[in-house]
Amino acid sequence: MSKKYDKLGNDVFNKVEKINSELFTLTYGALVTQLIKDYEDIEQVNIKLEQMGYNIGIRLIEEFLAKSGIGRCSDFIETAEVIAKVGFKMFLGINAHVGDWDADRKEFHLTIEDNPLIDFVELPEQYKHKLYYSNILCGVIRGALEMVQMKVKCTFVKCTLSDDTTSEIKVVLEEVLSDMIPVGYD
Amino acid sequence: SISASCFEFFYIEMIDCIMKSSSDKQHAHKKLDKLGFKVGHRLVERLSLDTALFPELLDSVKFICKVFWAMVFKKTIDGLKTNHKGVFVLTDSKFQWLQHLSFDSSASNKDCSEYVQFTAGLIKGAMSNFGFKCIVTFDIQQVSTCVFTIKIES
Repeated sequence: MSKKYDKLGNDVFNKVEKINSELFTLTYGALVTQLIKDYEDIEQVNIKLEQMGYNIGIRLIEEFLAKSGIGRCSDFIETAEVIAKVGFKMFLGINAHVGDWDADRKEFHLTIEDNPLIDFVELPEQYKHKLYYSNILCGVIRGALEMVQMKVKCTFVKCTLSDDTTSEIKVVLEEVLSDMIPVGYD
Repeated sequence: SISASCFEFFYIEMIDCIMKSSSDKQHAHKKLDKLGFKVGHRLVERLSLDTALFPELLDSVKFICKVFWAMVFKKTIDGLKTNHKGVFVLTDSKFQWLQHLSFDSSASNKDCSEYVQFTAGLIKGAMSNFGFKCIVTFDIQQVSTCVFTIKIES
């Protein structure tokens, strides 16, 4: 399954219009700096970044589905593969890996390689393990999945900027939302 | 590289975030201008690594019209005019960041200058890296034509 989505991710990424990632990296960095200045409280910055990501996710899913041609996933395991191999590849041009499934298959870790957001970035000591610099990605995943009836919670568990060896997002499936609200239900 | 739409999704959200976190429009524009300045300054630093120092002001402006614009917008500036006294007028007749805006024709507020202000900052930042201090103003014409005016301050 993973191989199939590897190929699809590559194919879609080759098709989409691309720009130099430095513009994105630098603009994102400038925004995070501005947010830190505006909010002062780092936790608020994390929340704001996640919210921005959510707003992006709910719009981005449409383009994702249209360009990748992916239909409904059979289970959450497949969903995870699609996010890692097609989603991350298509938009950021990078590879992500799924691992660390829990026994119920409702929770996994997404390891991100070569995250373009953190190029040229170094966190000052006082922000390490406090600021989730790329927290916008968590929001994007949450927003996008909510549009396909999955309520998830995403958190950064490891970040290379905070001296961890990898960058990992934990994704927990909380609820599968039903397509339609039954008649007479409120 | 990354997908162009990825940046644009982010860009829209960034504008929204700055507008909402500012006390008024003027304040927001100032912030966007500053953000653009920082990014423009750094982008040029990386873009011109292999370029020799420009002897003339015009060469720096041309660099912005061609190399810089191509990196950010995947096209070059459509028109460049100058009075040879430190004023340059750059016309982009298909400004990328206004391409996907839709508006309600009955709405009273058709101002979309917040989507352009960042770019004025980009130009200013780029010019400052070349050693020129300038004022950049812009004018949105028709649907997606943007005219930027660079005035060099001596």
